[in-house]
Amino acid sequence: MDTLNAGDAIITYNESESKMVFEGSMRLANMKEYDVVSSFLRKSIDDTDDPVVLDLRLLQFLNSSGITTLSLFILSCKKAGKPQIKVLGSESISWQQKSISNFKKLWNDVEIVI
Amino acid sequence: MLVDTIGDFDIIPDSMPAEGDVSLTVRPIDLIAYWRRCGIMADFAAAFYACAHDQPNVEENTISTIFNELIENATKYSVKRNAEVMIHMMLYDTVLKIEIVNHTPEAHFHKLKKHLTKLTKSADLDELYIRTMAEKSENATDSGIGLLLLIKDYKLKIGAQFKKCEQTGDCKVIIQTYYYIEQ
Ligand SMILES: Nc1ncnc2c1ncn2[C@@H]1O[C@H](COP(=O)(O)OP(=O)(O)OP(=O)(O)O)[C@@H](O)[C@H]1O
Ligand SMILES: [Mg+2]
Repeated sequence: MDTLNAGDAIITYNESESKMVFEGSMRLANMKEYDVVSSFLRKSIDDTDDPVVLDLRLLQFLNSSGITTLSLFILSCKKAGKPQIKVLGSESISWQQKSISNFKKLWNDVEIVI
Repeated sequence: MLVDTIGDFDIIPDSMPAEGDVSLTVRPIDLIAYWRRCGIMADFAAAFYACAHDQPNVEENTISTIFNELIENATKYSVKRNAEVMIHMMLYDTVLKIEIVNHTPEAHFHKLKKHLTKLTKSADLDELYIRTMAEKSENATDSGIGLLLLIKDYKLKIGAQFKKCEQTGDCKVIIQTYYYIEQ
């Protein structure tokens, strides 16, 4: 189990399930600050061929630079052709209800469960 | 003074009496010093208004998100770290108006004007989001989708006024957003 603290958020990667769990509020100042998050995501899934789950259900807030960070991660997986991505969201958190479908617009193979 | 107005500016004039009329003044330096204060201010604003509505959780998350994007921008793009940022929030029945005023370097003054003009003229914001992300995937030094997402996903109406003083070169931007609270 690998963990990254990013501002008021914690990201945990559970390798046996290929699941990345986001909790808290992630509102870092700019793309440079999000570099640690991008590196953590990339490093965690580097040698997996299994589908990866991004579980956002406990992520209360994500600012626009954070949405760009996840968007670019999804585009890099699309470019590599793997891994498949499944995003779990919550209907009762309005940023997710409003913005989570954007990820599928970038790569139609992304599965969104909300 | 050169004044330029774009988008949905003053669709509800300041003279209209509002319920829940709150003004805040803050210095960017205090937010840069502790970045999470942007989020703290956003959460305060959201809690202030959400307690008056039927779906407090949903609205609170939305209002906090909108406020946070605006205050992050005013912090990042203010000219002087000690120059004041002014925020004025007014609730009109089911419309929340947030006005935010800051002084900015000339480069951002023009960038914002160009960007908002593009956003207000775009017929397909989803396509613009996809294209922006494709460009950033080549080289991402900045993010550049904050205002786009507010308009596209939150159906926010945005207008701005740009004021430039020819004598001093001071550039001031007044951004107004109107959020129609879902019933
Ligand atoms: N309050 C402001 N004062 C001056 N310029 C601004 C202001 N808000 C936005 N801008 C300009 O408009 C651009 C677009 O802002 P926007 O919030 O959409 O993206 P961003 O802040 O660059 O990135 P993101 O919000 O996705 O993290 C900014 O890069 C900046 O040049
Ligand atoms: Mg921004």
